[in-house]
Amino acid sequence: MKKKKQTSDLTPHVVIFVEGDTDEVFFNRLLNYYRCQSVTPVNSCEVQNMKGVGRYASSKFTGKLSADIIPRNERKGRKIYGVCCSFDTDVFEDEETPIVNWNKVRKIIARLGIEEFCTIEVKSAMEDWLLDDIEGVCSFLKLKDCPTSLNGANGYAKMSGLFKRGGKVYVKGLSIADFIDALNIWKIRDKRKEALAELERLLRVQLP
Amino acid sequence: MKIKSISLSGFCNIKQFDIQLTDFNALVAPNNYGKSNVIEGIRFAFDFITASENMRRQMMSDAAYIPINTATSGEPFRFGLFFTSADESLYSYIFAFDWQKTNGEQGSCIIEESLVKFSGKRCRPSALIKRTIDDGGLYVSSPKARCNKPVGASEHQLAIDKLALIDRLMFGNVVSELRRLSIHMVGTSAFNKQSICEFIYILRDRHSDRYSLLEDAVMHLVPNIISITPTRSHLGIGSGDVPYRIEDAIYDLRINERNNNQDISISRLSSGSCRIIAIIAEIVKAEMDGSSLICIEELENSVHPKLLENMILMVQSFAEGITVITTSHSPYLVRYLKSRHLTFGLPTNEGVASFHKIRPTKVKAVVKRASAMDMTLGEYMFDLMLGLRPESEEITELFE
Repeated sequence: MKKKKQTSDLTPHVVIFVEGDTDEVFFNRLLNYYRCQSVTPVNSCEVQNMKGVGRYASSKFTGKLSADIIPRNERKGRKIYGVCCSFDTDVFEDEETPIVNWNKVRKIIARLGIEEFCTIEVKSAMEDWLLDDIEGVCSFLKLKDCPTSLNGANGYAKMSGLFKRGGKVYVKGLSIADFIDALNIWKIRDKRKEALAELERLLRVQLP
Repeated sequence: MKIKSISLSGFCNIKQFDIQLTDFNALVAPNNYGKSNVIEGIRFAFDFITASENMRRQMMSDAAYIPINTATSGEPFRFGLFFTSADESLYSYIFAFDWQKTNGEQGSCIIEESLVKFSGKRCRPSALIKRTIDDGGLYVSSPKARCNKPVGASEHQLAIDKLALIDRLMFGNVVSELRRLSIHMVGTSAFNKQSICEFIYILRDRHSDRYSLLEDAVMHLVPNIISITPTRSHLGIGSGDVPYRIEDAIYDLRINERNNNQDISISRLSSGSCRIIAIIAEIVKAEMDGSSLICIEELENSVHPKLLENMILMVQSFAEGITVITTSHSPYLVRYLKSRHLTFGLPTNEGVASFHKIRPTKVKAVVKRASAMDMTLGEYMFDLMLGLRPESEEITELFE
């Protein structure tokens, strides 16, 4: 009979919950960057797409963790050590306070025996982060002149405008993988290091 | 012209409909709540403004639209617009007419018309056109004059028809903007493939920049498509020496799909993929035609929920500056829009269409309720709409 591993023998594993496809593509790319660049080994990690920020407060979130992620990782010899929830802050513009009660989420995480919890505030949307490497975006679009300022009410509008200049259409989601591959993740991470600090601590990332 | 709000009454089962418009607006309701009547009413009003006198006479007696609901019968058709003109000033334009009557009363005539300019920080109104049932209209003839110069419009004529003929009219630019009002309708039924393919063919030849955007959008929204090629096949030009020979042609869109060993015609594509191409092409066309409003019946029709968010964003991006109204009975669509974009159909005892936005102060409460019930906002709103009775307290509590 196969002997069950002691909890202490299990490898620490971190789960990053994201709210949409664009964020899923970006965080997977960021994890690859960490794995390549960190001077210390990075904790094992996976990205889970919740497809909507409202679902952080739903039973889907708890159910996904308790019925899928935790047992699946235990079978592979991993213990969920930390959970990180990323969200675009523009989702909450309509509401006076965030619709997700993060304290409630924190308690759910603790009840499941997960030691660490953090949130990543993506201000205001993932497109704002991607535009941190505007030269990379322009180079992907083969634009000769890279604008110094962009018009648009939000990151999405700015990105759409820039794409239109390059004769392309900006579409959120998984189809932007090629585009994100063309960006310099170091630049984005450098500008957003405060927002990413907690995640990097959980992952034990040490950048040179 | 940028339309800010629309009001409509006395059309089919519409007693009173008012909407503050954003760039993208959704009329959300279960079936048979009057969504399509609203869209049809707006189209009817736009057509009325630009129609000839003869056509207006026919429109005023169109049995398909004359209200027969007991709560709306006998009501005149009334349509109002708030808009900013090209010079960035704010205006309101209203017209009303009596439908044709068969009981001996006088009907089938224009009974009201007004154009008002709002100026200054306090938006002080000043009438540029005034018209009641008893006169042919009055207008302002010079900056310092009052609104008292007779227009002399006939009962089937709008004052703006006559004023458009006056040289150097003080507000001539606004009158011509009104007379150029146009609406672009995208229905739910199968689209005219010939006309869409012809449009895309011409677009490629004459507006290559717009064509590449359209092509890129189609390939993103339907990832199976690798490329599209518009084609034109001549049907022969016949023989014989005639001064002008009509050159007939058939247009098609050849689709290169992943996993296929040859290109196929657009007619072999799935109805969903066809509709995506048609909607994008229609919006590009509306933008090129300078339309003031685009109305899309059930944007979600044949579109997978996962694609819907990108469809909405794409429509907004292509419409650029043109106000879009869509009807919908999809909880998914609600999920991807903010509350200010949404207007919900509510039940009434009289069977009239009743559409309202959620009170801004109640948005948070509604989102919280949905969240507590583990529902998305869309699921919650449909649950609420279907469970509401006309006398339900929630109607006055939650909606404007």
